[in-house]
Amino acid sequence: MVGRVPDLPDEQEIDALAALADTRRRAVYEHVAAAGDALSRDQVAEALGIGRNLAAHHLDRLAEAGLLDVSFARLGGRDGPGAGRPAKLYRRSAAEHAFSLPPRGYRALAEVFADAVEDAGVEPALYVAARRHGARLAGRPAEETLRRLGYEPYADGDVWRLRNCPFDGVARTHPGAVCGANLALRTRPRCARSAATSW
Amino acid sequence: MVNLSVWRSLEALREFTFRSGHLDILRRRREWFRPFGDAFAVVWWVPEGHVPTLGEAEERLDLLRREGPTPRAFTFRDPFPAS
Repeated sequence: MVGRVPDLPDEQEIDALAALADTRRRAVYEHVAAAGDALSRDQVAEALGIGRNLAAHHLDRLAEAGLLDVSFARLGGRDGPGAGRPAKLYRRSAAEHAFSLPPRGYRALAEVFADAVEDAGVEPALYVAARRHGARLAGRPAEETLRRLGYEPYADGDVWRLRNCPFDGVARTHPGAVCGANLALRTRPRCARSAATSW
Repeated sequence: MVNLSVWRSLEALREFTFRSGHLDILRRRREWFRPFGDAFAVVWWVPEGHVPTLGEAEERLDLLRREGPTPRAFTFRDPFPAS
Protein backbone atom coordinates (compact mmCIF):
# COMPACT_ATOMS: atom_id res chain seq x y z
CA MET A 1 0.00 0.00 0.00
CA VAL A 2 1.27 3.47 -0.85
CA GLY A 3 0.83 6.19 1.74
CA ARG A 4 0.40 9.85 1.09
CA VAL A 5 3.19 11.29 -1.05
CA PRO A 6 5.59 13.02 1.38
CA ASP A 7 6.07 16.78 1.10
CA LEU A 8 9.42 17.49 -0.47
CA PRO A 9 11.25 20.65 0.55
CA ASP A 10 10.23 23.80 -1.26
CA GLU A 11 11.20 24.10 -4.95
CA GLN A 12 13.52 27.00 -4.01
CA GLU A 13 15.37 24.89 -1.47
CA ILE A 14 15.91 22.13 -3.99
CA ASP A 15 17.09 24.67 -6.55
CA ALA A 16 19.57 26.19 -4.08
CA LEU A 17 21.00 22.78 -3.28
CA ALA A 18 21.11 21.75 -6.94
CA ALA A 19 23.07 24.91 -7.79
CA LEU A 20 25.85 23.68 -5.50
CA ALA A 21 26.07 20.21 -7.04
CA ASP A 22 28.63 21.43 -9.60
CA THR A 23 32.07 21.36 -7.93
CA ARG A 24 33.39 24.39 -9.80
CA ARG A 25 30.31 26.39 -8.90
CA ARG A 26 30.62 25.29 -5.31
CA ALA A 27 34.18 26.61 -5.27
CA VAL A 28 32.84 29.95 -6.54
CA TYR A 29 30.24 30.02 -3.76
CA GLU A 30 32.81 29.13 -1.11
CA HIS A 31 35.16 31.83 -2.33
CA VAL A 32 32.47 34.54 -2.23
CA ALA A 33 31.19 33.38 1.18
CA ALA A 34 34.70 33.41 2.66
CA ALA A 35 35.46 36.88 1.25
CA GLY A 36 32.90 38.60 3.46
CA ASP A 37 32.89 41.59 1.09
CA ALA A 38 31.06 41.80 -2.21
CA LEU A 39 33.22 40.61 -5.13
CA SER A 40 33.21 41.38 -8.85
CA ARG A 41 33.30 38.80 -11.62
CA ASP A 42 36.90 39.72 -12.37
CA GLN A 43 37.97 39.23 -8.76
CA VAL A 44 36.38 35.79 -8.61
CA ALA A 45 37.78 34.75 -12.01
CA GLU A 46 41.27 35.82 -11.02
CA ALA A 47 41.20 34.19 -7.57
CA LEU A 48 40.02 30.86 -8.91
CA GLY A 49 42.02 30.93 -12.14
CA ILE A 50 38.99 30.58 -14.39
CA GLY A 51 37.72 32.65 -17.31
CA ARG A 52 35.63 35.74 -16.66
CA ASN A 53 32.66 34.38 -18.61
CA LEU A 54 32.68 31.13 -16.69
CA ALA A 55 32.90 33.02 -13.39
CA ALA A 56 29.99 35.24 -14.47
CA HIS A 57 27.94 32.20 -15.46
CA HIS A 58 28.40 30.51 -12.10
CA LEU A 59 27.90 33.72 -10.11
CA ASP A 60 24.64 34.48 -11.92
CA ARG A 61 23.42 30.94 -11.48
CA LEU A 62 24.14 31.17 -7.73
CA ALA A 63 22.34 34.52 -7.55
CA GLU A 64 19.36 33.04 -9.42
CA ALA A 65 19.22 30.20 -6.89
CA GLY A 66 19.06 32.75 -4.06
CA LEU A 67 22.49 31.89 -2.65
CA LEU A 68 24.16 35.19 -3.57
CA ASP A 69 22.89 38.78 -3.51
CA VAL A 70 23.74 41.13 -6.35
CA SER A 71 24.57 44.83 -6.16
CA PHE A 72 26.14 47.35 -8.51
CA ALA A 73 28.97 49.74 -7.71
CA ARG A 74 31.75 51.60 -9.47
CA LEU A 75 35.06 50.13 -8.45
CA GLY A 76 38.29 52.05 -7.93
CA GLY A 77 36.60 55.17 -6.64
CA ARG A 78 35.93 56.54 -10.12
CA ASP A 79 32.66 58.32 -10.59
CA GLY A 80 30.88 60.66 -12.97
CA PRO A 81 31.15 60.64 -16.79
CA GLY A 82 33.82 58.33 -18.15
CA ALA A 83 33.81 56.12 -15.09
CA GLY A 84 32.33 53.29 -17.11
CA ARG A 85 29.51 50.94 -16.25
CA PRO A 86 29.14 50.00 -12.60
CA ALA A 87 30.48 46.54 -11.82
CA LYS A 88 28.11 43.76 -10.82
CA LEU A 89 29.06 42.61 -7.33
CA TYR A 90 28.15 39.43 -5.51
CA ARG A 91 28.02 38.59 -1.82
CA ARG A 92 26.56 35.70 0.14
CA SER A 93 22.85 36.05 0.72
CA ALA A 94 21.63 36.23 4.30
CA ALA A 95 18.67 34.03 3.34
CA GLU A 96 18.74 30.68 5.09
CA HIS A 97 18.35 27.44 3.24
CA ALA A 98 17.51 24.20 4.93
CA PHE A 99 17.14 20.88 3.26
CA SER A 100 16.09 17.95 5.35
CA LEU A 101 14.55 14.62 4.48
CA PRO A 102 12.49 13.48 6.25
CA PRO A 103 11.43 17.08 7.07
CA ARG A 104 12.85 18.41 10.35
CA GLY A 105 12.12 21.77 11.93
CA TYR A 106 14.48 22.31 14.82
CA ARG A 107 14.26 26.06 14.41
CA ALA A 108 10.63 26.11 15.53
CA LEU A 109 11.51 23.93 18.50
CA ALA A 110 14.46 26.19 19.36
CA GLU A 111 12.11 29.18 19.47
CA VAL A 112 9.72 27.34 21.77
CA PHE A 113 12.59 26.37 24.08
CA ALA A 114 13.98 29.91 24.07
CA ASP A 115 10.51 31.26 24.91
CA ALA A 116 10.22 28.89 27.83
CA VAL A 117 13.72 29.71 29.09
CA GLU A 118 13.02 33.46 28.99
CA ASP A 119 9.55 33.11 30.51
CA ALA A 120 10.87 31.02 33.38
CA GLY A 121 13.97 33.20 33.78
CA VAL A 122 16.29 30.20 33.77
CA GLU A 123 18.93 31.59 31.40
CA PRO A 124 21.72 30.74 33.89
CA ALA A 125 20.76 27.05 33.61
CA LEU A 126 20.88 27.36 29.83
CA TYR A 127 24.37 28.89 29.97
CA VAL A 128 25.57 26.08 32.24
CA ALA A 129 24.21 23.49 29.81
CA ALA A 130 25.84 25.29 26.88
CA ARG A 131 29.20 25.42 28.67
CA ARG A 132 28.93 21.69 29.37
CA HIS A 133 28.14 21.02 25.74
CA GLY A 134 31.14 23.09 24.71
CA ALA A 135 33.36 21.19 27.15
CA ARG A 136 32.36 17.89 25.56
CA LEU A 137 33.72 19.16 22.26
CA ALA A 138 36.90 20.42 23.86
CA GLY A 139 39.12 17.48 22.86
CA ARG A 140 39.47 18.75 19.33
CA PRO A 141 41.38 21.80 18.10
CA ALA A 142 39.38 24.98 18.69
CA GLU A 143 39.33 25.90 15.02
CA GLU A 144 37.90 22.55 13.98
CA THR A 145 35.21 22.68 16.67
CA LEU A 146 34.19 26.20 15.71
CA ARG A 147 34.10 25.18 12.07
CA ARG A 148 31.93 22.15 12.75
CA LEU A 149 29.51 24.24 14.78
CA GLY A 150 29.12 26.56 11.78
CA TYR A 151 30.95 29.66 13.06
CA GLU A 152 33.22 29.93 10.01
CA PRO A 153 36.29 30.96 12.05
CA TYR A 154 39.26 32.73 10.52
CA ALA A 155 42.53 33.82 12.10
CA ASP A 156 43.13 37.54 12.44
CA GLY A 157 46.49 38.05 14.09
CA ASP A 158 46.25 36.47 17.53
CA VAL A 159 42.50 36.03 17.66
CA TRP A 160 39.97 33.88 15.92
CA ARG A 161 37.20 35.89 14.37
CA LEU A 162 33.91 34.30 13.49
CA ARG A 163 32.27 35.09 10.21
CA ASN A 164 28.94 33.46 10.90
CA CYS A 165 26.53 33.08 13.79
CA PRO A 166 25.02 29.60 13.38
CA PHE A 167 22.09 30.60 15.60
CA ASP A 168 21.32 33.91 13.86
CA GLY A 169 17.57 33.34 13.40
CA VAL A 170 16.78 32.49 17.04
CA ALA A 171 19.40 34.98 18.24
CA ARG A 172 17.35 37.77 16.65
CA THR A 173 14.15 36.77 18.39
CA HIS A 174 15.76 35.81 21.73
CA PRO A 175 19.11 37.63 21.98
CA GLY A 176 19.40 37.34 25.77
CA ALA A 177 19.04 33.58 25.91
CA VAL A 178 20.67 32.64 22.62
CA CYS A 179 23.66 35.02 22.50
CA GLY A 180 24.46 34.12 26.10
CA ALA A 181 24.27 30.39 25.38
CA ASN A 182 26.33 30.97 22.24
CA LEU A 183 29.10 32.59 24.25
CA ALA A 184 29.00 29.91 26.96
CA LEU A 185 29.22 27.21 24.32
CA ARG A 186 32.53 28.63 23.14
CA THR A 187 34.01 29.22 26.58
CA ARG A 188 37.13 27.08 26.55
CA PRO A 189 39.34 27.58 29.57
CA ARG A 190 42.51 26.14 28.07
CA CYS A 191 42.18 27.59 24.62
CA ALA A 192 45.43 29.14 23.38
CA ARG A 193 43.60 31.63 21.20
CA SER A 194 40.56 33.45 22.43
CA ALA A 195 37.48 33.57 20.28
CA ALA A 196 36.36 37.07 19.41
CA THR A 197 33.00 37.75 17.86
CA SER A 198 32.72 39.73 14.69
CA TRP A 199 29.03 39.74 13.95
CA MET B 1 12.14 50.83 36.90
CA VAL B 2 11.46 52.06 33.41
CA ASN B 3 13.90 52.28 30.54
CA LEU B 4 12.74 54.38 27.59
CA SER B 5 14.81 55.27 24.53
CA VAL B 6 14.30 56.48 20.94
CA TRP B 7 16.10 54.84 18.02
CA ARG B 8 16.40 55.75 14.36
CA SER B 9 15.46 52.24 13.19
CA LEU B 10 14.80 48.76 14.51
CA GLU B 11 18.06 47.77 12.85
CA ALA B 12 19.96 50.38 14.91
CA LEU B 13 18.38 49.02 18.08
CA ARG B 14 19.27 45.47 17.00
CA GLU B 15 22.81 46.53 16.26
CA PHE B 16 23.11 47.89 19.79
CA THR B 17 21.58 44.76 21.31
CA PHE B 18 23.81 42.40 19.36
CA ARG B 19 27.11 44.08 18.85
CA SER B 20 27.80 46.32 21.79
CA GLY B 21 28.71 45.84 25.44
CA HIS B 22 24.96 45.79 26.08
CA LEU B 23 24.91 42.08 25.32
CA ASP B 24 27.26 41.28 28.22
CA ILE B 25 24.86 42.97 30.61
CA LEU B 26 21.81 41.41 28.97
CA ARG B 27 23.30 37.96 29.53
CA ARG B 28 23.49 38.63 33.26
CA ARG B 29 20.00 40.07 33.66
CA ARG B 30 18.83 37.19 35.87
CA GLU B 31 21.27 38.37 38.51
CA TRP B 32 19.02 41.39 38.95
CA PHE B 33 15.63 40.73 37.35
CA ARG B 34 13.01 38.01 37.55
CA PRO B 35 10.47 37.48 34.76
CA PHE B 36 6.98 38.53 35.86
CA GLY B 37 4.96 36.59 33.36
CA ASP B 38 3.72 39.40 31.13
CA ALA B 39 5.05 41.54 28.30
CA PHE B 40 7.68 43.90 29.74
CA ALA B 41 9.12 45.50 26.60
CA VAL B 42 7.26 47.33 23.86
CA VAL B 43 8.30 49.09 20.64
CA TRP B 44 6.36 51.72 18.66
CA TRP B 45 7.03 54.35 16.02
CA VAL B 46 7.07 58.07 16.85
CA PRO B 47 7.30 61.07 14.47
CA GLU B 48 10.83 62.42 14.05
CA GLY B 49 11.76 64.82 16.83
CA HIS B 50 9.03 63.56 19.17
CA VAL B 51 10.24 62.64 22.65
CA PRO B 52 7.84 60.07 24.13
CA THR B 53 6.73 60.34 27.75
CA LEU B 54 6.49 57.66 30.42
CA GLY B 55 2.69 57.91 30.17
CA GLU B 56 2.84 57.06 26.47
CA ALA B 57 5.11 54.11 27.21
CA GLU B 58 2.64 52.83 29.79
CA GLU B 59 -0.25 53.11 27.30
CA ARG B 60 1.68 51.24 24.63
CA LEU B 61 2.67 48.49 27.01
CA ASP B 62 -1.00 48.13 28.08
CA LEU B 63 -2.00 47.99 24.42
CA LEU B 64 0.53 45.24 23.74
CA ARG B 65 -0.65 43.27 26.74
CA ARG B 66 -4.30 43.58 25.68
CA GLU B 67 -4.07 43.08 21.92
CA GLY B 68 -0.71 41.42 21.26
CA PRO B 69 1.67 42.88 18.64
CA THR B 70 -0.04 45.46 16.38
CA PRO B 71 1.42 48.35 14.32
CA ARG B 72 0.70 50.65 17.33
CA ALA B 73 2.53 48.53 19.89
CA PHE B 74 4.78 45.64 18.99
CA THR B 75 7.86 43.68 19.98
CA PHE B 76 11.34 43.08 18.71
CA ARG B 77 10.17 39.66 17.72
CA ASP B 78 7.05 40.66 15.76
CA PRO B 79 8.04 44.04 14.29
CA PHE B 80 5.96 46.35 12.08
CA PRO B 81 7.39 48.85 9.58
CA ALA B 82 7.03 52.61 10.16
CA SER B 83 3.87 53.80 8.40
